[in-house]
Amino acid sequence: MSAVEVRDLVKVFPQRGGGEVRAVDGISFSVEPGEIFGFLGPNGAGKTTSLEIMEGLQAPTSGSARVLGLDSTAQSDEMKKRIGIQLQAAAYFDYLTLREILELFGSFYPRRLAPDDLLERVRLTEKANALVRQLSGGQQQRFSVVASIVNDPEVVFLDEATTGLDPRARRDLWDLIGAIRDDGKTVVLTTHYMEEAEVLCDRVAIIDRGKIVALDTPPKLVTRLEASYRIVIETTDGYDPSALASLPGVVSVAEARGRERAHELRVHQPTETLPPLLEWVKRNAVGLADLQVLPATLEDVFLTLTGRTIEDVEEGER
Amino acid sequence: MLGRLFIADLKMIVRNKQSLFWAIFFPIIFATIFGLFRFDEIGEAEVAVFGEVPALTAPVREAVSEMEALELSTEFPTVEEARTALEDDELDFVLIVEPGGTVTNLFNESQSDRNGVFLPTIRQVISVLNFAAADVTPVYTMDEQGVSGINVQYYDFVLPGLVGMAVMTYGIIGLGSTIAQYRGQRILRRILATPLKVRTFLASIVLAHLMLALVQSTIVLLWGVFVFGGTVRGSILWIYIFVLLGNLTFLNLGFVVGARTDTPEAASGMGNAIAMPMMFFAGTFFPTATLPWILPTVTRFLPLRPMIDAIRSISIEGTAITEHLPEVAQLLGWAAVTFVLAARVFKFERA
Repeated sequence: MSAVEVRDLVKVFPQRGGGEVRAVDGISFSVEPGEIFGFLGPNGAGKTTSLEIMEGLQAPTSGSARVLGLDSTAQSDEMKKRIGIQLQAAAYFDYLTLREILELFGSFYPRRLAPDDLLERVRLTEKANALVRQLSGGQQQRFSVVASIVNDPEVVFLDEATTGLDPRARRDLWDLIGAIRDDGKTVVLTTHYMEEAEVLCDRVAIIDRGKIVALDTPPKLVTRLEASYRIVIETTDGYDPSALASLPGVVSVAEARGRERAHELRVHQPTETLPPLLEWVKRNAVGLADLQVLPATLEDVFLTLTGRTIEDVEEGER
Repeated sequence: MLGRLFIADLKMIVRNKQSLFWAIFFPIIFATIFGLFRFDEIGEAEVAVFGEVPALTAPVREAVSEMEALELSTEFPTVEEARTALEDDELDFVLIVEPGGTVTNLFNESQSDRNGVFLPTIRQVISVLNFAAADVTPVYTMDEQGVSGINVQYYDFVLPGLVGMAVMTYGIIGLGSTIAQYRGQRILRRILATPLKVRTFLASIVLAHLMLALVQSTIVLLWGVFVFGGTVRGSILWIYIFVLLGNLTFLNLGFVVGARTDTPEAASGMGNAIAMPMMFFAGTFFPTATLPWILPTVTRFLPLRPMIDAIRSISIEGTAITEHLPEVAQLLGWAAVTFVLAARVFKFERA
């Protein structure tokens, strides 16, 4: 049995002044026990809505979500006992200590883990008697993740657990989430960080405008691309970039972000493109400042599938 | 589960110093201020008597000094000095006995409350003198018997009002800001994500606030009685019952305020807009009979009114709850109406 089974899920919100938004537009997928399953997409793509339907916090307009074989809407009481939830941007009580919060939330469940063990797990033992607001941002996120497993759940839902954290605190949290998976729990998370999905997730569903546009393991998503490698070239002199596009095996040429006299080539195979590229450099007597060959990333997958980057989408809404 | 939540709620109330200030210290400050101003201790009136004919002046002096509420002042040798003292509020009345028997009474018009109390006494002095001069025994005499037999001090009147005020403001504003914060920070939604029944969660909050209301009223009454000599004649149990009954309505209003606002600050503003006018119009500090137009009747229907009325009557006259069934009915009615309102507008998410 799958840990999570979602079929033809649709969520429609009425809009102010008439009309409606299809926040989730017919998604289907299943999550296997013991895997970390990631929803990757820009803000507003429908990640949180999908997650909240699975958690039983929202009812779907149509379709169904089953967690551990239980219907998220009809059997939510039973289901809630066996899942753990971390909500996006949700706080805990201001005037209770970490230990008191874990004791209190534990008391809501028939099965619970010892608060001190949980705190030790996220290196917050010394903060057991502190209030949440006395913690750093990274500590707060670690606490909020560990609070989600207070009932020793079988499936854990994490919504944007690492948003707003510095890279070190983020990596710290990845270790924690990996350890939760290694305990045999299933983890379903949302993120808009490509790197996070790539490093952390066993499988990734790329979601855009309420639809899943791709679903696979990160390496497979990348190798399915027409251009699964990138070549970055930076020169000391100016040159005509259109010449680069006509080299064999080049799918596209774009200016490298934030760099001058640098271009990024998307290519089928580096072995096919590199020799003629070096030949071209030599022939035109262009000075070479940098040359890198990189595998494509989920960022390229998202760009190829949607025609835009996640940053573009999120900047557009600001 | 409910017990653990209840304890946690109490801890949170006690640790939130700001809201505890409003719950406990704010009413204590009021009880102190009203205790320091002795509104009903108006004292004795200082009266100076002058006259050119000693035979006419002496009986007036004697009558004034015999009158309980008046005190004869001999501090000022001349009428002019007495007049100045009158303007400076050092004297209350200057009586000038004319040779023809006319008594001119000079008083300071700005002291209207003292004049209201003492002018009739001065007039009484004159009629006593007239009876004596005519050598008549009055046909009518008055035997004054106060029926209640209780000397009601203003402080005893205002203390039950302060209990009502404390419970109402914390019920509406304290709970309102807590709920606003819980929703604004998505704590309510986090609770919704657990198997805990929402009604259990809300019930624990209500129970903790009812508990606090009992603590509030106890502290305010103890402070008033032991520090400022207030008197509570009736049973504290009946007072507690009305505190709880009234608080049901205020907590429902607190849920309404919390449902309509997302931050404690906004909840506090909206709560004050409800609580402040109610505090004055329900007769917390002074009787509402002097209000103009239909207001005395309308203000009878404020939920704070029956609560304060009943607590006041229990405290001052020592009545029992059986004499306040109409107030019980009124408070239950308010609790039911506001419960329906709260249930309709309450929501878990930000708008």
